[in-house]
Amino acid sequence: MLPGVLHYLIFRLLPSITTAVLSFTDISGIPGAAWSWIGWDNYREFFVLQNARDLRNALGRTAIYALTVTLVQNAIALVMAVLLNKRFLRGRNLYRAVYFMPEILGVTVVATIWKLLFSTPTGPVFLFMRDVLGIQNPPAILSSFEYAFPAVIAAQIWMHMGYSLVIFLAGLQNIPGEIYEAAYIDGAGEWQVFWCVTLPMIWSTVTVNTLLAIIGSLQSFELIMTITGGQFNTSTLGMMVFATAFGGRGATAGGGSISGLRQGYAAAQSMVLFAAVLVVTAISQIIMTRLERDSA
Amino acid sequence: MRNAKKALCGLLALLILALAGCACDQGGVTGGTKAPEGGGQAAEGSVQLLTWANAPTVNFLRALAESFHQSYPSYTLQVTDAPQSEHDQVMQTRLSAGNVDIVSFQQFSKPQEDWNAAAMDKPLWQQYIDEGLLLDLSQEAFMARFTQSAKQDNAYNGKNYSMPTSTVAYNGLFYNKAIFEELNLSVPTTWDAFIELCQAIRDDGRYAVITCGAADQWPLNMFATGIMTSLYGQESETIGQGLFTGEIKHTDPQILELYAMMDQFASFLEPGVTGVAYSDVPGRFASGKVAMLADGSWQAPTIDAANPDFAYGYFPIPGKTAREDGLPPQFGIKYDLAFAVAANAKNKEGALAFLDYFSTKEVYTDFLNAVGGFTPTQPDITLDNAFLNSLAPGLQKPYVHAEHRLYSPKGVGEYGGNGGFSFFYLKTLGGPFTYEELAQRAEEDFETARKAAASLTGR
Repeated sequence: MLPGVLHYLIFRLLPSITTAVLSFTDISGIPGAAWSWIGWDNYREFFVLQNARDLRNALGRTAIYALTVTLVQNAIALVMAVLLNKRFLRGRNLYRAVYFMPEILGVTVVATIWKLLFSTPTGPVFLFMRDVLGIQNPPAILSSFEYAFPAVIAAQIWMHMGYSLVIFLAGLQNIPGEIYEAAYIDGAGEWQVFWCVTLPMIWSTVTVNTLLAIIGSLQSFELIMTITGGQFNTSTLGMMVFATAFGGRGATAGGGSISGLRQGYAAAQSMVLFAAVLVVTAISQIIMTRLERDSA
Repeated sequence: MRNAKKALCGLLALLILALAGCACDQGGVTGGTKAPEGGGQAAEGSVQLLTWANAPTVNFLRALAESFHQSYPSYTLQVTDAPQSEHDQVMQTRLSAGNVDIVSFQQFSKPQEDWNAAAMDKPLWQQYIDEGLLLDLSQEAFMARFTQSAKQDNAYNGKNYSMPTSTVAYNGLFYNKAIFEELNLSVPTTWDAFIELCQAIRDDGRYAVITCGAADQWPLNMFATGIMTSLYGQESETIGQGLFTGEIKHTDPQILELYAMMDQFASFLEPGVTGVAYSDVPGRFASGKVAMLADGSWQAPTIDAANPDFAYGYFPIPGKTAREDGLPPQFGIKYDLAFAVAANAKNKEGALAFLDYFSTKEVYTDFLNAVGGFTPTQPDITLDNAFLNSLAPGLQKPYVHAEHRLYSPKGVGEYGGNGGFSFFYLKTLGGPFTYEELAQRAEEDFETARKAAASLTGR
């Protein structure tokens, strides 16, 4: 037990507390540079100095990102898991591997695939819109204020859907076959079996997947960074934290960059993100537990 | 079963050890860049140089290592490069670790000063100097080889902390000579002539007028400040400061003129330009399907590589009227690759020896000829690069590019990005606003940011 506790203390708790403390300082990240205690200034800068309209939009985007990813990713993964759990389906192991593959590919490869897919004017999506759908001036999806954000959300769902699917499959395979047999003997149809047998039996799995998706998507910045760099209204809170700490565009709510290194400010942003993740996760946990109790 | 578990555990332990061994062998990897051999310690006599990924520059420096070693047998140059987007992080990491001797910067511009301190943070280069991380090179003999203006434009508190190796011009357009000849077009000297030229190419209908790597955003926004350079010239500095402090508004007639020109320029960009990646444009231009490419002079070697037989030229975007002094339109420039020495360098003498060697006339000339897109910051340099020599008429009285004169207040809203001059919000390019509306939004965002900064600082 001691190694586990030490690991938690050194690699989890200590950095978290340090981040909280540093969020009240003006530490820059420049080696040897003096830094001082500045109280709530970083938080004031985040909430007051930053353009309120852009901040609202960025927080809204973060919420939309988390909500859409959580709902759509889990819905598709659940449907696919139910289908792939059917014994009559031939080659289902191959399908499972294929659906899980984007997870293995990693962020950079997925981002490259996405960029090639949507590239203008030679990408397949552009050519499809122009030559098959007959759109005269197809939009450049990944550099459009309207479509870039949905495209990044789609990439996130595509990449992580396999992970949710595998967890759902594990849950489905734990349901005893006799329960299904009894349901079919009682005359239940596929739809009734899904709602009255499958879903209640895997509810704890649904809860796990939902919480993982919420936390993962709220903190996510890698795909945004690699696909759009936080430009074209795609910057979320997670992206802002990264860009503030390590430089680049997407550090401000409006997608811009900030001057120099400001790790104290980045720490304050990450504390705001932490609070958001904590609140949303706690509320989701309460709702999911209540639903589980009701369905039981 | 128990044996199988034991075997599996043993296998995992071996795998971990093997991976750890591999990591040690490789000396660790930082930000996609291989750190120097020997566990991050600079070997005795080795000079560690870090720069950003730019194939012609990096190849030249690596090739130079051998001749440097021959001239200075006690030193060995080791060049590492990092992708541009990761360069600042890698530099910070390596400066912290004290395992780099020479680092690379661009122009030292837009410092935090009294007049802007309330609403602006220090840029990275200023943070480094103020914290004593860069060596003062002012008194080094090799600095005398560089022009006074190059040293002056990069000085901070009257001292030089970097050796500005070159300048680049980037308010210009590459043009396809064959298309210009075919359509009987000549390089324009006024804005109206430029618009007429664009219209003629469009009317012909066979070629796209202008392309740009707009999907990366900065290559296009760079042309807002490029047009500003051509329109206001030296006045850009006063205008940039005025816009920052609020003494000049984005909605003032003189600034609206710039927005109108941006809008006109945008109307001649090829359809779908906002989706064209920066990495694709040299190939697109060299394929002969586009008449002009909006880009910086640094792109010339890449165009050559894409099609060695391709004939092209490069001209500055003209101002509204012809110059009164009779000179052709002049380029807007910035100082590009500048070498600085880390104050905590393990091999300070070696680093200074390399800068001395690099800046000797012979090596320096070879560098500019090899890299192909940079113009000299030393006087009396004769180049055999035809493209660079063709830029000479536009470099007689060059301007500092307006990008280095334009400030955005801290926390400014999205419409105030790029100093308030972002092409991407223009209706002409599929954005939401006319240019007048964009000017209004930009001013509102600037005003909000100024007020917020004042409320926090009490100024």
